[in-house]
Amino acid sequence: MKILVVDDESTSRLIALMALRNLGHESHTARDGADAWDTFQSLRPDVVISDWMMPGMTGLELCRKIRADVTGSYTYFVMVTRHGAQNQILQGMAAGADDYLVKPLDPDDLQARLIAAARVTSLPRPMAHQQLESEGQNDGSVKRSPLPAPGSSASKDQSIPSLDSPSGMTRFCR
Amino acid sequence: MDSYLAKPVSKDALLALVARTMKDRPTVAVLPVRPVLDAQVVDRLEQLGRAAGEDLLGELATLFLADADARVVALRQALAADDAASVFRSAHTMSGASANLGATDLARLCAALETDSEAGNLMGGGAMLEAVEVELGRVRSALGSLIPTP
Repeated sequence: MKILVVDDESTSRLIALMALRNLGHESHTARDGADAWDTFQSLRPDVVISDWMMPGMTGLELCRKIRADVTGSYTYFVMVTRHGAQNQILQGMAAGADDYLVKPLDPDDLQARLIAAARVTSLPRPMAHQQLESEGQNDGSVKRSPLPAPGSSASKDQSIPSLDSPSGMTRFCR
Repeated sequence: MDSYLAKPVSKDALLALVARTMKDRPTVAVLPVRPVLDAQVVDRLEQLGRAAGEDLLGELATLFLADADARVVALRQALAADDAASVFRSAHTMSGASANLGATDLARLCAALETDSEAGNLMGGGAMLEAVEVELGRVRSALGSLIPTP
């Protein structure tokens, strides 16, 4: 997977990069939220692993910006917090993070998160849209791009039937 | 004055005085010295580096020490300016970096400074920074052996 690591602290970035490289992922880094947002737009990573506390744009703000942008395929967002910061975990998940990690980073925990990330990002985008709508996170103010028609060349995985078709729902509910 | 020796000082008189003095001192419990770096964390980083074919520990030690000096300067300046937000930011970063390398005591000291400054309390900041600097000295010595010589 294509993974963007966001952290303003150099040892944290290096440890994450090394762990991701060992797991065979394509990894990129950003030093703060603003840098991460620029990189996100050009790179369109499958996964963003972002520290919470950063100068300028925080990880929480970055997560909200990424969730408000529903163009392209779904990005799995993992929030990184300090140990024991339960309130940050709850706020992060409420803002649209899919999962969290605590520092110092444990490579096994990271691998576990990425197994889930691979599963979610392999699903077609309509499902992510439906989930956002059902959670009431899209109030219509965000810019929406037209979704690719099921089976069209723009669809991420043509072998998977869309969830708005009977066969797709059958596959999902099985 | 606790005692005296008459000149010319004989070796036996000096040794007897030292023995008497030591006997009168209260017994001091000798606490086991905790390792500066958590062996489990160091081991995990070694494994991570070995799997990637790189000297991860050496690179981390170099990065950490280069940043730590700048952080201590920033902390000192922020404390002098009574700037709790800046103290919080620097203490937070240093605490995270210390924990990454297994410098558990240093991480704990920085976390305490982080917690106090987050609450706007800089009363004990000076003393805490002194403790941070002492512990950083121990960490620097421990990490020194991990940095490859050019």
